Amino acid sequence: MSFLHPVRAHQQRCRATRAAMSDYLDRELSPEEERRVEAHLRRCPGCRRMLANLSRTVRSLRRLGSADGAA
Amino acid sequence: MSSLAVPSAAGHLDDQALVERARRGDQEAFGLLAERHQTRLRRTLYRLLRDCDAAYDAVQEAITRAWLNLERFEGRSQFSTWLTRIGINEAYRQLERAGARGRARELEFHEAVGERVPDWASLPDAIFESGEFLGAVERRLGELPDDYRVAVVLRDVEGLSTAEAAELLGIGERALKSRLHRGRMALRAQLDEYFAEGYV
Repeated sequence: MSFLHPVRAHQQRCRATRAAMSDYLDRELSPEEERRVEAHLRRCPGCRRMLANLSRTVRSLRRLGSADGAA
Repeated sequence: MSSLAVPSAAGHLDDQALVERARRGDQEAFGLLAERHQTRLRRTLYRLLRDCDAAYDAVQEAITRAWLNLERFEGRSQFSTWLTRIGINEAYRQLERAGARGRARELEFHEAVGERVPDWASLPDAIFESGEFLGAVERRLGELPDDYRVAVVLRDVEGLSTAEAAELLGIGERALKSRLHRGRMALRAQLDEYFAEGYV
């Protein structure tokens, strides 16, 4: 039976979660994938911050588009 | 088309009325439509091409194509949306012709999962709403490799759906999503650096 160090196991889940973050924000994950992402986010402050920052980035990009429309 | 004379008498008409006139061959009505939308279109195409002259050429080409294909416009979307799609198509054709210049440069994508992620939530909203910050977003968006920048512009700035953007670029939705995510994450990392500069 192989043993994965808990820190490495956590980092693997961080990588998987971060890879899914755009799809999560765009609501393009399956319910099962979404539950997995949210379960990890509840335990991981680093990934929560990453998601919040990515969400801010996307909102800022949308503001560029809406600022064009208002111009 | 942009050199067409613009009659002030038609200036009060909305796009739909102008399109109807233009369909009947009224070049002046079409000139007014082009005049109305070309500034925004040029800004959009500049984001894709990062070259003022190329963006200007793409706008002119898009306006000409729109005029020549006006009978195909079915009115299911806004005229401005239809014109923007034509312009994006033209800009993407230009990028394709330009070859592998920007696209050969794959983003290095190392997520340092063990490192501390900066906390933007502690920054006041006023920073994110400032013109200075949006200018920084615009500049860093322009530095992304072509494939990633195009995906981000189409999805996030222009608001196209995944399916629409993928179809427009002639790629699968998975490829589009991958480029979009990498582009967004790269931009986020660039903005981390922008905020870090503020503390130096």
